[in-house]
Amino acid sequence: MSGLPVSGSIYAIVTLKSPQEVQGGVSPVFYVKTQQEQEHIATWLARITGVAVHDLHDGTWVLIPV
Amino acid sequence: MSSQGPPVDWASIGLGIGFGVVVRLILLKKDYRHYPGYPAGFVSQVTIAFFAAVIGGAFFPALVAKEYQAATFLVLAATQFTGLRKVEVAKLSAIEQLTLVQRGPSYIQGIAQEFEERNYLVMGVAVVTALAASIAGQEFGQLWSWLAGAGAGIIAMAVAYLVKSGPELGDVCDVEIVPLTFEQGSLLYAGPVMLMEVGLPKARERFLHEGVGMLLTPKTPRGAGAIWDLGQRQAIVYNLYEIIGAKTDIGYGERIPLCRMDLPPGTGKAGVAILPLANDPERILEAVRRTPLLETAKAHAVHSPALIAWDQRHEGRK
Repeated sequence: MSGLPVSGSIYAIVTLKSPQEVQGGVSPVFYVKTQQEQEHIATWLARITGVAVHDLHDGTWVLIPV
Repeated sequence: MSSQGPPVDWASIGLGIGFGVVVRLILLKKDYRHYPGYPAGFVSQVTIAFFAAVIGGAFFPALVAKEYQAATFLVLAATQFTGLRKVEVAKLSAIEQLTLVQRGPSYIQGIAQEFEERNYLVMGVAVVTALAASIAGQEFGQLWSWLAGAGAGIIAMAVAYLVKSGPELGDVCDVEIVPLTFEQGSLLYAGPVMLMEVGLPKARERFLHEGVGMLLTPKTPRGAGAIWDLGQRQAIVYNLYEIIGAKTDIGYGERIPLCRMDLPPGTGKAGVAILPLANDPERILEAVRRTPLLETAKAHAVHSPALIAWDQRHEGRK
Protein backbone atom coordinates (compact mmCIF):
# COMPACT_ATOMS: atom_id res chain seq x y z
CA MET A 1 0.00 0.00 0.00
CA SER A 2 2.80 2.39 -0.82
CA GLY A 3 0.53 4.40 -3.14
CA LEU A 4 3.33 4.57 -5.66
CA PRO A 5 3.46 2.47 -8.83
CA VAL A 6 6.61 0.77 -7.59
CA SER A 7 6.12 -2.84 -6.64
CA GLY A 8 8.36 -5.06 -4.62
CA SER A 9 9.61 -8.46 -5.58
CA ILE A 10 7.44 -11.39 -6.62
CA TYR A 11 5.69 -12.66 -3.53
CA ALA A 12 4.65 -16.06 -4.86
CA ILE A 13 4.19 -17.93 -8.13
CA VAL A 14 1.17 -20.06 -9.05
CA THR A 15 1.85 -22.09 -12.19
CA LEU A 16 0.38 -24.80 -14.37
CA LYS A 17 3.86 -25.59 -15.62
CA SER A 18 6.13 -28.32 -14.36
CA PRO A 19 8.89 -27.88 -11.72
CA GLN A 20 11.38 -28.27 -14.57
CA GLU A 21 10.01 -25.20 -16.34
CA VAL A 22 9.28 -22.88 -13.41
CA GLN A 23 11.42 -22.71 -10.31
CA GLY A 24 11.26 -20.29 -7.40
CA GLY A 25 14.30 -18.20 -6.65
CA VAL A 26 13.25 -16.16 -3.66
CA SER A 27 9.53 -16.73 -3.88
CA PRO A 28 7.61 -19.94 -3.25
CA VAL A 29 6.05 -21.74 -6.22
CA PHE A 30 2.63 -23.39 -6.08
CA TYR A 31 2.28 -26.06 -8.76
CA VAL A 32 -1.33 -26.62 -9.83
CA LYS A 33 -2.99 -29.01 -12.27
CA THR A 34 -6.01 -27.06 -13.50
CA GLN A 35 -6.90 -23.44 -14.12
CA GLN A 36 -9.66 -23.76 -11.53
CA GLU A 37 -7.14 -24.80 -8.91
CA GLN A 38 -4.84 -21.99 -10.03
CA GLU A 39 -7.60 -19.44 -9.53
CA HIS A 40 -8.48 -20.92 -6.16
CA ILE A 41 -4.92 -20.84 -4.82
CA ALA A 42 -4.16 -17.38 -6.23
CA THR A 43 -7.38 -15.87 -4.88
CA TRP A 44 -6.83 -17.26 -1.41
CA LEU A 45 -3.22 -16.12 -1.32
CA ALA A 46 -4.24 -12.67 -2.55
CA ARG A 47 -6.98 -12.26 0.04
CA ILE A 48 -4.86 -13.58 2.88
CA THR A 49 -1.75 -11.54 2.15
CA GLY A 50 -3.13 -8.52 0.27
CA VAL A 51 -1.02 -9.01 -2.83
CA ALA A 52 -2.23 -8.50 -6.41
CA VAL A 53 -2.40 -11.33 -8.95
CA HIS A 54 -0.86 -10.83 -12.38
CA ASP A 55 -1.17 -13.15 -15.36
CA LEU A 56 1.89 -13.82 -17.52
CA HIS A 57 -0.38 -15.59 -20.07
CA ASP A 58 1.84 -18.66 -20.28
CA GLY A 59 0.12 -20.63 -17.53
CA THR A 60 1.99 -18.77 -14.79
CA TRP A 61 0.52 -16.25 -12.39
CA VAL A 62 2.72 -14.09 -10.19
CA LEU A 63 1.62 -12.49 -6.94
CA ILE A 64 3.07 -9.07 -6.32
CA PRO A 65 2.65 -6.84 -3.25
CA VAL A 66 0.55 -3.76 -4.05
CA MET B 1 3.13 54.21 29.07
CA SER B 2 -0.11 53.53 27.26
CA SER B 3 -2.12 55.57 29.74
CA GLN B 4 -0.21 58.71 28.69
CA GLY B 5 -0.63 58.07 24.94
CA PRO B 6 -3.67 58.79 22.79
CA PRO B 7 -6.89 56.94 23.64
CA VAL B 8 -7.24 53.38 22.36
CA ASP B 9 -8.88 53.26 18.93
CA TRP B 10 -11.54 50.64 19.76
CA ALA B 11 -13.58 51.23 16.61
CA SER B 12 -10.68 50.29 14.34
CA ILE B 13 -9.57 47.30 16.40
CA GLY B 14 -13.11 46.03 16.84
CA LEU B 15 -13.97 46.33 13.16
CA GLY B 16 -10.70 44.66 12.18
CA ILE B 17 -11.28 41.70 14.47
CA GLY B 18 -14.92 41.41 13.46
CA PHE B 19 -14.32 41.37 9.73
CA GLY B 20 -11.30 39.08 10.15
CA VAL B 21 -13.30 36.42 11.96
CA VAL B 22 -16.27 36.75 9.60
CA VAL B 23 -14.07 36.22 6.54
CA ARG B 24 -12.67 33.03 8.08
CA LEU B 25 -16.15 31.75 8.82
CA ILE B 26 -17.19 32.41 5.22
CA LEU B 27 -14.13 30.65 3.81
CA LEU B 28 -14.57 27.75 6.20
CA LYS B 29 -18.18 27.24 5.20
CA LYS B 30 -17.35 27.43 1.52
CA ASP B 31 -14.78 24.71 1.94
CA TYR B 32 -16.90 22.44 4.07
CA ARG B 33 -16.26 18.99 2.61
CA HIS B 34 -14.66 16.51 4.90
CA TYR B 35 -11.93 18.73 6.17
CA PRO B 36 -11.45 20.42 8.61
CA GLY B 37 -13.47 18.15 10.82
CA TYR B 38 -16.40 19.24 12.90
CA PRO B 39 -16.45 20.31 15.70
CA ALA B 40 -12.83 20.11 16.87
CA GLY B 41 -11.21 21.22 13.61
CA PHE B 42 -13.82 23.92 13.13
CA VAL B 43 -13.31 25.38 16.62
CA SER B 44 -9.54 25.38 16.37
CA GLN B 45 -9.58 27.03 12.94
CA VAL B 46 -11.94 29.78 14.08
CA THR B 47 -9.94 30.33 17.27
CA ILE B 48 -6.71 30.68 15.34
CA ALA B 49 -8.48 33.01 12.92
CA PHE B 50 -9.51 35.13 15.90
CA PHE B 51 -5.87 35.45 16.96
CA ALA B 52 -4.93 36.38 13.40
CA ALA B 53 -7.70 38.99 13.35
CA VAL B 54 -6.52 40.45 16.67
CA ILE B 55 -3.00 40.72 15.30
CA GLY B 56 -4.20 42.33 12.08
CA GLY B 57 -6.75 44.62 13.72
CA ALA B 58 -4.43 45.90 16.40
CA PHE B 59 -1.41 46.39 14.16
CA PHE B 60 -2.15 49.81 12.71
CA PRO B 61 -3.79 51.33 15.83
CA ALA B 62 -0.71 50.17 17.79
CA LEU B 63 1.56 51.99 15.36
CA VAL B 64 -0.56 55.15 15.57
CA ALA B 65 -0.42 54.98 19.37
CA LYS B 66 3.38 54.78 19.04
CA GLU B 67 3.32 51.35 20.69
CA TYR B 68 6.14 50.09 18.51
CA GLN B 69 6.98 47.22 20.82
CA ALA B 70 3.42 45.95 20.57
CA ALA B 71 3.47 46.28 16.80
CA THR B 72 6.70 44.32 16.37
CA PHE B 73 5.51 41.72 18.83
CA LEU B 74 2.42 41.19 16.71
CA VAL B 75 4.59 40.63 13.64
CA LEU B 76 6.49 38.04 15.64
CA ALA B 77 3.25 36.27 16.50
CA ALA B 78 2.46 35.99 12.81
CA THR B 79 5.38 33.59 12.37
CA GLN B 80 3.45 31.11 14.49
CA PHE B 81 1.20 30.39 11.52
CA THR B 82 4.12 28.72 9.77
CA GLY B 83 4.35 26.38 12.74
CA LEU B 84 0.65 25.74 12.35
CA ARG B 85 1.23 24.47 8.84
CA LYS B 86 3.88 22.05 10.09
CA VAL B 87 1.48 20.68 12.69
CA GLU B 88 -1.15 20.19 9.99
CA VAL B 89 1.31 18.32 7.77
CA ALA B 90 2.38 16.09 10.65
CA LYS B 91 -1.22 15.29 11.52
CA LEU B 92 -2.30 14.46 7.98
CA SER B 93 0.86 12.45 7.33
CA ALA B 94 0.24 10.38 10.45
CA ILE B 95 -3.30 9.59 9.32
CA GLU B 96 -1.98 8.41 5.94
CA GLN B 97 -0.61 5.25 7.50
CA LEU B 98 -4.07 3.81 7.99
CA THR B 99 -5.97 4.81 4.89
CA LEU B 100 -6.73 2.69 1.83
CA VAL B 101 -6.23 5.55 -0.58
CA GLN B 102 -3.68 8.13 0.41
CA ARG B 103 -3.83 11.87 -0.11
CA GLY B 104 -0.15 11.90 -0.98
CA PRO B 105 2.46 14.44 0.18
CA SER B 106 1.56 17.02 -2.48
CA TYR B 107 -2.08 17.18 -1.44
CA ILE B 108 -1.16 17.32 2.26
CA GLN B 109 1.23 20.20 1.70
CA GLY B 110 -1.47 21.92 -0.33
CA ILE B 111 -4.07 21.61 2.42
CA ALA B 112 -1.66 22.80 5.12
CA GLN B 113 -0.51 25.71 3.00
CA GLU B 114 -4.08 26.73 2.36
CA PHE B 115 -4.86 26.82 6.07
CA GLU B 116 -1.80 28.97 6.65
CA GLU B 117 -2.73 31.22 3.73
CA ARG B 118 -6.26 31.71 5.07
CA ASN B 119 -4.92 33.03 8.34
CA TYR B 120 -2.91 35.56 6.38
CA LEU B 121 -6.07 36.49 4.49
CA VAL B 122 -7.80 37.01 7.84
CA MET B 123 -4.90 39.15 8.99
CA GLY B 124 -4.93 41.11 5.74
CA VAL B 125 -8.65 41.83 5.96
CA ALA B 126 -8.25 42.94 9.58
CA VAL B 127 -5.32 45.22 8.74
CA VAL B 128 -7.12 46.88 5.82
CA THR B 129 -10.32 47.35 7.85
CA ALA B 130 -8.53 48.80 10.86
CA LEU B 131 -6.36 51.02 8.66
CA ALA B 132 -9.37 52.53 6.87
CA ALA B 133 -11.30 52.97 10.12
CA SER B 134 -8.33 54.54 11.85
CA ILE B 135 -7.53 57.06 9.08
CA ALA B 136 -11.18 58.01 8.55
CA GLY B 137 -11.60 58.37 12.30
CA GLN B 138 -8.73 60.82 12.57
CA GLU B 139 -9.79 62.86 9.54
CA PHE B 140 -13.58 62.92 9.75
CA GLY B 141 -14.64 61.70 13.18
CA GLN B 142 -16.09 58.62 14.83
CA LEU B 143 -19.08 57.99 12.55
CA TRP B 144 -16.92 58.02 9.42
CA SER B 145 -14.51 55.70 11.14
CA TRP B 146 -17.20 53.02 11.42
CA LEU B 147 -18.48 53.58 7.89
CA ALA B 148 -15.05 53.59 6.23
CA GLY B 149 -13.99 50.55 8.27
CA ALA B 150 -17.09 48.61 7.27
CA GLY B 151 -16.72 49.59 3.60
CA ALA B 152 -13.05 48.65 3.46
CA GLY B 153 -13.81 45.43 5.33
CA ILE B 154 -16.43 44.38 2.80
CA ILE B 155 -14.11 45.13 -0.14
CA ALA B 156 -11.22 43.27 1.52
CA MET B 157 -13.49 40.31 2.20
CA ALA B 158 -14.52 40.19 -1.45
CA VAL B 159 -10.87 40.18 -2.50
CA ALA B 160 -10.03 37.46 0.02
CA TYR B 161 -12.95 35.39 -1.26
CA LEU B 162 -11.65 35.64 -4.81
CA VAL B 163 -8.10 34.58 -3.96
CA LYS B 164 -9.11 31.99 -1.36
CA SER B 165 -8.24 29.02 -3.51
CA GLY B 166 -6.95 28.23 -6.94
CA PRO B 167 -8.72 26.61 -9.88
CA GLU B 168 -10.08 23.09 -9.91
CA LEU B 169 -9.21 20.22 -12.22
CA GLY B 170 -12.41 20.74 -14.23
CA ASP B 171 -11.15 24.20 -15.22
CA VAL B 172 -8.10 22.82 -16.99
CA CYS B 173 -9.13 19.29 -18.00
CA ASP B 174 -12.10 17.71 -19.75
CA VAL B 175 -13.42 14.74 -17.83
CA GLU B 176 -15.63 12.14 -19.49
CA ILE B 177 -16.91 8.67 -18.70
CA VAL B 178 -15.40 5.98 -20.91
CA PRO B 179 -15.98 2.22 -20.93
CA LEU B 180 -13.62 -0.09 -19.09
CA THR B 181 -12.32 -2.90 -21.28
CA PHE B 182 -9.74 -5.66 -21.12
CA GLU B 183 -7.25 -6.17 -23.89
CA GLN B 184 -4.84 -9.06 -24.42
CA GLY B 185 -6.84 -10.98 -21.87
CA SER B 186 -6.06 -9.06 -18.72
CA LEU B 187 -4.89 -5.50 -19.38
CA LEU B 188 -7.42 -3.02 -17.99
CA TYR B 189 -8.13 -0.04 -20.26
CA ALA B 190 -10.12 3.10 -19.55
CA GLY B 191 -10.96 4.18 -23.08
CA PRO B 192 -7.58 4.29 -24.85
CA VAL B 193 -5.51 4.36 -21.65
CA MET B 194 -3.96 1.19 -20.27
CA LEU B 195 -4.15 1.20 -16.48
CA MET B 196 -2.96 -2.10 -15.06
CA GLU B 197 -2.85 -5.86 -15.34
CA VAL B 198 -5.62 -7.71 -13.51
CA GLY B 199 -4.78 -11.38 -13.11
CA LEU B 200 -7.86 -12.79 -11.40
CA PRO B 201 -10.78 -13.55 -13.77
CA LYS B 202 -13.35 -12.66 -11.11
CA ALA B 203 -11.71 -9.31 -10.46
CA ARG B 204 -11.86 -8.61 -14.21
CA GLU B 205 -15.58 -9.42 -14.27
CA ARG B 206 -16.16 -7.04 -11.40
CA PHE B 207 -14.36 -4.22 -13.18
CA LEU B 208 -16.44 -4.84 -16.31
CA HIS B 209 -19.76 -4.90 -14.48
CA GLU B 210 -19.33 -2.45 -11.63
CA GLY B 211 -16.33 -0.34 -12.59
CA VAL B 212 -16.39 3.20 -13.91
CA GLY B 213 -13.71 4.48 -16.25
CA MET B 214 -12.86 8.08 -16.96
CA LEU B 215 -10.68 9.88 -19.44
CA LEU B 216 -8.98 13.16 -18.56
CA THR B 217 -8.02 15.33 -21.51
CA PRO B 218 -6.08 18.52 -20.73
CA LYS B 219 -7.65 21.72 -22.06
CA THR B 220 -4.68 23.95 -21.26
CA PRO B 221 -0.90 23.51 -20.83
CA ARG B 222 -1.44 23.92 -17.13
CA GLY B 223 -3.89 21.04 -17.14
CA ALA B 224 -1.37 18.94 -19.03
CA GLY B 225 1.31 19.78 -16.49
CA ALA B 226 -1.03 19.00 -13.64
CA ILE B 227 -1.95 15.47 -14.66
CA TRP B 228 1.60 14.50 -15.50
CA ASP B 229 2.27 15.16 -11.83
CA LEU B 230 1.96 12.05 -9.72
CA GLY B 231 0.88 14.05 -6.68
CA GLN B 232 -1.99 15.60 -8.63
CA ARG B 233 -3.13 12.21 -9.88
CA GLN B 234 -3.05 10.85 -6.35
CA ALA B 235 -5.16 13.84 -5.27
CA ILE B 236 -7.69 13.04 -8.02
CA VAL B 237 -7.94 9.44 -6.86
CA TYR B 238 -8.16 10.49 -3.22
CA ASN B 239 -10.93 13.00 -3.91
CA LEU B 240 -12.85 10.37 -5.82
CA TYR B 241 -12.42 7.85 -3.02
CA GLU B 242 -13.28 10.38 -0.32
CA ILE B 243 -16.44 11.70 -1.97
CA ILE B 244 -17.78 8.66 -3.89
CA GLY B 245 -16.22 5.76 -1.99
CA ALA B 246 -14.73 2.62 -3.50
CA LYS B 247 -15.40 -1.08 -3.04
CA THR B 248 -12.00 -1.85 -1.61
CA ASP B 249 -10.37 -2.97 1.59
CA ILE B 250 -7.19 -4.53 2.92
CA GLY B 251 -6.55 -7.70 0.94
CA TYR B 252 -8.11 -6.31 -2.24
CA GLY B 253 -5.09 -4.60 -3.72
CA GLU B 254 -6.34 -4.70 -7.31
CA ARG B 255 -9.45 -2.72 -6.37
CA ILE B 256 -7.75 0.46 -5.23
CA PRO B 257 -8.82 3.25 -7.62
CA LEU B 258 -6.04 4.50 -9.84
CA CYS B 259 -5.11 7.15 -12.37
CA ARG B 260 -2.49 6.51 -15.05
CA MET B 261 -1.16 8.34 -18.07
CA ASP B 262 -1.71 7.17 -21.63
CA LEU B 263 1.54 5.33 -22.26
CA PRO B 264 3.44 4.32 -24.36
CA PRO B 265 1.98 6.92 -26.81
CA GLY B 266 2.27 9.67 -24.20
CA THR B 267 -0.64 11.72 -25.54
CA GLY B 268 -0.96 13.59 -22.24
CA LYS B 269 -4.34 12.05 -21.49
CA ALA B 270 -4.97 10.16 -18.29
CA GLY B 271 -7.29 7.29 -17.46
CA VAL B 272 -9.05 6.62 -14.18
CA ALA B 273 -10.71 3.45 -12.94
CA ILE B 274 -12.75 2.99 -9.79
CA LEU B 275 -15.22 0.48 -8.37
CA PRO B 276 -17.59 3.08 -6.92
CA LEU B 277 -19.88 2.40 -3.98
CA ALA B 278 -22.73 4.10 -5.79
CA ASN B 279 -22.60 4.15 -9.56
CA ASP B 280 -23.80 7.67 -10.28
CA PRO B 281 -21.84 8.96 -13.30
CA GLU B 282 -22.70 12.63 -12.76
CA ARG B 283 -21.50 12.65 -9.16
CA ILE B 284 -18.38 10.73 -10.06
CA LEU B 285 -17.52 13.21 -12.80
CA GLU B 286 -18.20 16.10 -10.43
CA ALA B 287 -15.89 14.62 -7.79
CA VAL B 288 -13.04 14.45 -10.32
CA ARG B 289 -13.72 17.90 -11.74
CA ARG B 290 -13.72 19.46 -8.29
CA THR B 291 -10.33 18.11 -7.30
CA PRO B 292 -8.23 21.13 -6.35
CA LEU B 293 -5.39 21.88 -8.70
CA LEU B 294 -2.31 21.51 -6.53
CA GLU B 295 0.23 24.30 -6.42
CA THR B 296 3.08 21.82 -6.47
CA ALA B 297 1.66 20.35 -9.67
CA LYS B 298 1.47 23.70 -11.43
CA ALA B 299 5.20 24.22 -11.70
CA HIS B 300 5.61 21.52 -14.34
CA ALA B 301 3.71 23.50 -16.93
CA VAL B 302 6.28 26.26 -16.59
CA HIS B 303 9.48 24.31 -16.16
CA SER B 304 9.12 21.06 -18.03
CA PRO B 305 10.75 21.13 -21.47
CA ALA B 306 8.28 18.48 -22.62
CA LEU B 307 5.37 20.78 -21.85
CA ILE B 308 6.95 23.78 -23.49
CA ALA B 309 7.07 21.59 -26.59
CA TRP B 310 3.43 20.69 -26.01
CA ASP B 311 2.67 24.39 -25.85
CA GLN B 312 4.34 25.00 -29.18
CA ARG B 313 2.57 22.11 -30.87
CA HIS B 314 -0.83 23.36 -29.76
CA GLU B 315 -0.26 27.05 -30.32
CA GLY B 316 -2.02 27.09 -33.67
CA ARG B 317 -5.12 25.52 -32.18
CA LYS B 318 -6.12 28.50 -30.06
